Amino acid sequence: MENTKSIAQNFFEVAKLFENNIAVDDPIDGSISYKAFARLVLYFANNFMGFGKNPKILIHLPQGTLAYAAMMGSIVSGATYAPVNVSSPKARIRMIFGQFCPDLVVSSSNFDTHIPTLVPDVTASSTDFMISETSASSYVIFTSGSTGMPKGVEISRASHSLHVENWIKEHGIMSNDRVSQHPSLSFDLSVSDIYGALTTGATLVPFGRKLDKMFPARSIKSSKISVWNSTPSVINFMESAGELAPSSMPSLRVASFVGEPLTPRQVRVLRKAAPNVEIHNGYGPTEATVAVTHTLITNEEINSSNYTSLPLGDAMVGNRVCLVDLDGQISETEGEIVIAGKQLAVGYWNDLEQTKKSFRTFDIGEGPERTYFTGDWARWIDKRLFFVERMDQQVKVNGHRVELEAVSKAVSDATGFAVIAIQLDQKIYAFVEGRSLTKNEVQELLEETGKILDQYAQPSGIFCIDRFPQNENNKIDLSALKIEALKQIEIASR
Amino acid sequence: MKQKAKIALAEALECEVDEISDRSGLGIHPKWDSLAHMRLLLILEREYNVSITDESIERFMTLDGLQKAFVESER
Repeated sequence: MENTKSIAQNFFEVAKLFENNIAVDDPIDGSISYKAFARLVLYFANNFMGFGKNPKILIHLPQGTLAYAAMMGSIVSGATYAPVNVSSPKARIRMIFGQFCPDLVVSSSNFDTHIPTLVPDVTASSTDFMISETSASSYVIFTSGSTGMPKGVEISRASHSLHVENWIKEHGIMSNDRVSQHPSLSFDLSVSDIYGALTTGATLVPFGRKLDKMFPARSIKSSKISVWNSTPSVINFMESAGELAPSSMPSLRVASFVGEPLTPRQVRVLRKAAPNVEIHNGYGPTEATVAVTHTLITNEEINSSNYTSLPLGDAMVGNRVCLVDLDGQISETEGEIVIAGKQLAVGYWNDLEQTKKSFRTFDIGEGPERTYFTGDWARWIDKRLFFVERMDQQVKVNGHRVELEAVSKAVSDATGFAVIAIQLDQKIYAFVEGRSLTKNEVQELLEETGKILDQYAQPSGIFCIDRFPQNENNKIDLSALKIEALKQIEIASR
Repeated sequence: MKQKAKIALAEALECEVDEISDRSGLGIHPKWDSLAHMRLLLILEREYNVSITDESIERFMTLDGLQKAFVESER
């Protein structure tokens, strides 16, 4: 593995070899060849080099050519970047800005800051060539934190390269592929498709428009996508929209999923629209660079009635995975997923204490080493790994990580009362204790929380309750709250 | 026309018309989530010949925007 080439080296080799291939086919900015794209990358790299040895770059650009070039420019120049989602609430972007403390902001909109801001143009270009060798981290991606503050996960250049190399190899990405870039830039899933395409000579197609997000099946069809990287719940979305007509996505060769359990039913539904598509499933937390396992789903697995969700696969090169039971022993049956290996994050950005707590020294079979306890409970069945449930308050909504405590805090801050958030069927609901709320007040509350929470984290209902139910240990009874939520949902729908 | 906008929206949100207030919008009305918004656009496309674009997806994110579009279409 010591031979893993850097992403910058791979990119420039490919850009030379396939200089006339389209690097990015952007519905907004048009298509750009590898030759022109490499010059745009160098324009960014040269700009970033003016900000010291390892500058920190906050990338606040919409999904598309400029953002990808800025990221690659950061990699090439020895900088560390943090991408933010331009459609996130301003308060959240401010929090990330405050934590990351960038030396430079790259933004095409008016980013109100005293920090230098680069406003790029897609026609910008530079031909100077110099890859900066550095040990600085590659990127920092901010995820939901339980305190309400976003938590930055810092990924090294080596981990980043290894993940991309693994992803390309396992999915068989080729220079004639058209790879969708569907996940938002602040979601680390995007790391796979962006670098997977741009270091093989394939064409990257941003799904950055609202149209692409809401009706991705249309975009897959119209953009002739051959490789689609997404979260499983998007299939449900496509199905609800009635957009998975038989053989409606003939170009699709590879569909890759991570971030949530993938069900056999979802695969069967997708297969109708794309009969020959290979289904790839993987697993990994942001703290281990997007994904550490991979499997190509077989027909036998899809048609098996034994599985509620499909296997997560085997550890990819450079990674090791095991299950640890509640007594701290390695288990052959079930336990918490523990990861070791070369894709482990450097740690949490500027948070040594949390880093020490989460990345523990543990022996998973080859002597004590640095590991990450994921908080995901899983089971071995027939030597295959299956996800069971989260062990804490973290939930997934359409693949996005959401800390329920952060939602509770946002609603609590807006009401001044105690709040508990729960998840039911992919939706989040919040209970406010000891206060009654009118429909108008609920809408006002949602307006307030919408200023802090990303849209996927917004509660689908805010309910009032006299007192939170307690179990026999005097702890809040979450099961009883879920039953209460079902009742209130039913009352509301009458 | 304003009532017609509310009826289309209620169908998408799978709720009663009187549950929709003038301030309702995506992420503000509890039932108006991204799935409901998608249903709304499909209803508008199917029944009102609205083409789905970034502009229409954004425009119809509030009851106000929806009502204005219905009023304009009658002119």
